[in-house]
Amino acid sequence: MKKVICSIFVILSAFSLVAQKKDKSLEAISAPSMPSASIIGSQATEINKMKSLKQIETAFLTNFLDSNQNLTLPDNFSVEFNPYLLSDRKNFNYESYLENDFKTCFIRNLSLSLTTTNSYQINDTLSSNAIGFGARTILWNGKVNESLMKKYFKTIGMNQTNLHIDSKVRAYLQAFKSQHMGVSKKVSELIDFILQNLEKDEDLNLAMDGNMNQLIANVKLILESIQVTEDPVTITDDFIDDFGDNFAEKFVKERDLVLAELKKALEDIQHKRYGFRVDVNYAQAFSFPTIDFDNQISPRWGLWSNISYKPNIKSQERPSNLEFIALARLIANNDEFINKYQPVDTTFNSDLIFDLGIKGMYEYKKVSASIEYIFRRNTIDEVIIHDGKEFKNSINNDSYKFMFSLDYRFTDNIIVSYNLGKSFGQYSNANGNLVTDLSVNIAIGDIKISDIPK
Amino acid sequence: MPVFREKPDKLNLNLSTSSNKVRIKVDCYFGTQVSVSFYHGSVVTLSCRENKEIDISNSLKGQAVVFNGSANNPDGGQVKIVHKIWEENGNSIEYTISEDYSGETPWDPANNNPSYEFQVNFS
Repeated sequence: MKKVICSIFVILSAFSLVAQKKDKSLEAISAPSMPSASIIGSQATEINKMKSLKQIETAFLTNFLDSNQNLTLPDNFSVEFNPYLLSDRKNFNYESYLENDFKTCFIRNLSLSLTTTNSYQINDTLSSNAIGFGARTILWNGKVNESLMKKYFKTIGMNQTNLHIDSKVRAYLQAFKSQHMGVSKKVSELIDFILQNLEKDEDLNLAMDGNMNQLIANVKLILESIQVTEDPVTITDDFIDDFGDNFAEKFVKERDLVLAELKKALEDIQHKRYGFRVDVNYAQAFSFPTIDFDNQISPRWGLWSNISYKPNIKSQERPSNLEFIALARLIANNDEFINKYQPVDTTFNSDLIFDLGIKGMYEYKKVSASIEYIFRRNTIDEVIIHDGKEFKNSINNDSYKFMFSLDYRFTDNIIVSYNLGKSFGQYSNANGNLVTDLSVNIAIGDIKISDIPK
Repeated sequence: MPVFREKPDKLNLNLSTSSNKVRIKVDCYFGTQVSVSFYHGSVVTLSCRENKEIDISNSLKGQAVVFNGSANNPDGGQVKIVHKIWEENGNSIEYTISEDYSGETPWDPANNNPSYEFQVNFS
């Protein structure tokens, strides 16, 4: 059967379950690959690329509203979130993102996912609803090039220095006010007072390793650009507040630049890793055939691991564009569920399904392409009772899946994915097992509205 | 973007006439980074997790200290800083940005690099 799915994924990324609108651009996204979607067959690719560190990814495959415009459980809805990033992370040290021990990787990268569908295929003629629950995490997260690490540490320091400059300048304004309240003073005296104190400041000298000249020159430029209505000026609360507001407003441009550099460096150390990476995934499906919450059954569960390897190009100090991923997976089907939909004289006893697969991926600028192959080992015993006699037949249901995928990133918020290949085809039917899938993934939520194309 | 300035009469801390130390502690949440500076004889600056002395209670009694903060969140999440000011063995107050902020300029969650200011009146 030529299975054509044209679907729209809308990926919602936010940094807290508490609504917080931030006017910033989202980091680059990748196509959704949640265990909970995989276990109920809501995605074409089987081998999940290592997940980026995000807090919530929500994939909408169809509209949330039913034909009467009432809110309904969407047909094919996925959400994945990272509990660690939703936790309060009291006094978090950004340098710890480079820690790579087992426990840190496990906790920091643990993601939980939920997917719903009304198209869970039971056999070639029957489908039902299903909810998939999944969990995945990274046990070993590869390595980061030294130049990226150095840049990351440097931008963390620059960011903190800028925060210090802003708060200290305004504190020195308070100091000047305290010493000269109600007195007429030249603005140049105020500026000199601030600069002289900044020059002697221990925190700043430590941060700048004694190289204060550039810092002082930049701050001086900003202070001297602040317009005042009269000079000399009488030092009052209002004057000091206005002067502080003006400084903060002008200096924020520098702060924004450095913050953007830090965010880029943070993204790089999270994504541009080389060497071996290992993740584990668990997912379980639940079905509600009678649409009764109390009458639920679990049709299957799965446990799998991906081991990936990405070489490092030492001369360019960056990971290769090429990545290899190996998959090992166990899937257990619930015979009780399967046999509910078989003729009364027929039962199936299925063994554990064992998958072994390999995937090659290549990413270049906005395009990524991958090929994956999975071999499935699956034996089913069919038992038919006829005239009181039991007839057993062992069915070799070994099969394979082959998929070619192409992703194109239009912007940092929109990815179009195309998949073409062959599904496992574990059901004997005349419809075939060709899979073609086109999806558009749009990231929304924590980004500027103007970033979303009309 | 102006400094988010809290109402000057909002925060009050009743101190004793003893020589107990009065301190400030700054805790950051959800990946927030901060610098808080105040002038009281000299300029003192704190970052996340730091805890510094302001003065002793009988010297501070009857005065007001202005705290100047600058913050951002490289992870892109919400900015949250809890400032705790307390007298050892005495009273304490907490002021949280941005939940407790009630200044004239409305807090703008879209501001990536907020600067804020609050005053504590020691009585």
